[in-house]
Amino acid sequence: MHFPFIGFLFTLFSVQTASAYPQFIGYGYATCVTCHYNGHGGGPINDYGRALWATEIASRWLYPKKVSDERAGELSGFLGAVQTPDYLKPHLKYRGLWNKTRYGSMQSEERIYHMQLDGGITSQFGPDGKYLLTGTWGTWPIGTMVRDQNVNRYLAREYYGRVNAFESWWFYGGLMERVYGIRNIDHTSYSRVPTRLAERSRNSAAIVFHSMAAMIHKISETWEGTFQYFIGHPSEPEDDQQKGFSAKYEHSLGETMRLGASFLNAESKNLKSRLLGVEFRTKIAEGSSFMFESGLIEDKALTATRSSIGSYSLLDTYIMLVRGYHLKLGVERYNQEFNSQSPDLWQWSLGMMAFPINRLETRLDLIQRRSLISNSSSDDEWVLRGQVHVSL
Amino acid sequence: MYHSKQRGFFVNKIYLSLLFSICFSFAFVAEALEFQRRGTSFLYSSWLESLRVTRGNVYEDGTASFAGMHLSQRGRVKFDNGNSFLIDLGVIFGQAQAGSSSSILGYVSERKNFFGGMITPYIPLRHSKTILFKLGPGLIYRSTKWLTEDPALTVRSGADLNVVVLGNVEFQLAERLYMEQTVGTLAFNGRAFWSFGIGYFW
Repeated sequence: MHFPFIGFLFTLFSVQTASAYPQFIGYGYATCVTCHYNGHGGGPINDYGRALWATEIASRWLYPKKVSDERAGELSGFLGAVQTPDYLKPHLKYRGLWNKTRYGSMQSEERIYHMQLDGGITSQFGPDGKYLLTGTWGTWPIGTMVRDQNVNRYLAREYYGRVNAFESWWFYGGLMERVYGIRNIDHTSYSRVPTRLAERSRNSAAIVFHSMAAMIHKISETWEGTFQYFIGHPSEPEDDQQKGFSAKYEHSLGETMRLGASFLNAESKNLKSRLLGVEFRTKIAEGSSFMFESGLIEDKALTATRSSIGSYSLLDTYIMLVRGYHLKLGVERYNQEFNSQSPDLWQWSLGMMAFPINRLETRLDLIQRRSLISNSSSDDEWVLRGQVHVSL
Repeated sequence: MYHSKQRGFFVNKIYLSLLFSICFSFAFVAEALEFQRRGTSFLYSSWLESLRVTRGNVYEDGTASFAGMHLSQRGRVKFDNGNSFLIDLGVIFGQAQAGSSSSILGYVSERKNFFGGMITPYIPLRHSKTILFKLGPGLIYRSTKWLTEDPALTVRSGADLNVVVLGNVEFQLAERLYMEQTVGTLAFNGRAFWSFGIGYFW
């Protein structure tokens, strides 16, 4: 009775895709383009990334013993062992979140969010996939874009073209994520929310971190550099559309250690903002990594007479306990403005990130939020959060 | 439940004895690890304590928050039978806040300096050559006196001497440079304790 169930799981998950993360520098992968169509990560992963996930990242516990890593890699395509042509690489993804706020108090609230449900196709043409087109569409189950009083739950998450014009030069154009800092998937992180890299649009609940953009990305053996010009998300209210540019540079201090810096300048009809940050990523043991990012945020609202300058910091540590199972420790700090009236917001997290079988990801995090300010003292807030990520 | 200062001192004496009994018990099961060298850590620490403000028969509960720098020296205690445990000795200094202006009694104390020390024996659990998990109970002492202009007002928070239960992760960034993160809780009249920072192996 046990084997049919295992077999069912195996069949189901051996044909899924999943995201790769910047912390995978702990596996020796410093650059995202190894596994992603987008050189800065996020979005669908390529065939190599799928195989790597199956053979190196995911746990082996739920596989039948007779299935070797090599065989698991062969089965990691969208249709399992059946390879689709380069011009037809489909992907599907679901991400769900269970969130319990004010955990342990009478005001505790519990909600389930379907964060992402979408799919798409990537097509590669030419020698070594020189030309690429990709698109991802789907529902935003908790997010609804509101523009011109029309609600739109079905949106393109991203679509862009990529040309590998020269050996190490990549040109992109279309709807894509803005490039800045470490591309942390946690959209509640202080490195993503106050920086508006994952924000909720003013009139909606949609999480907007994509923009129509043009991008140049140079990847060499010892460094990576990117320049991106963006003009906002086409579905956002016009007044909220941020236009501007960003630049990012990362230098290798060894095979598995990277030091970098980012700058972003964005302007909408309501807000001008500038970001400047430094980042560091390193492998600390096999499958384990440490990441640090810290930066300044300058905001000036249209109606304000002066700008505010604040800062954010992020320290993330991932420790692989056994293959497929990681302990996560996070420390984050955000201060909206450099003055004593602006609280230091701290966010500590302790959690588990697991890949129990190929392309299935689960997370469980206990998060503590503490606000430190000179003229008062308040109790901590605790949040318990679980996530399931599945893609077909 | 809040303890008075006198009772707190007595209770802490008991905890102190218990703590050292536990430490010595742990010492005989702890493994001696090559990774455990002497080191000095420079950390940022924060914790909350339960606060009670009293005027006559009226009292109000709140929180006091502590944050500051923690300079710690780490060593290893070895026994003849080869067993050992790690011990952290450190000083903590920083600023604390208590109360809130929106409370009924309206007590607020801003930027009150505090100074203290901490001793934590740890059981080491080795993950790999560069990563070490540590678990242990410790003692934290901090000296702070909440001042009031109103003589009828009594303000107490936590306990001068308290027990902390901590989990710690330490990992090497370079040959002699390491980072550590600690999470835990104060055992009595307190809340979560955490610290993080960098260290250097001697």
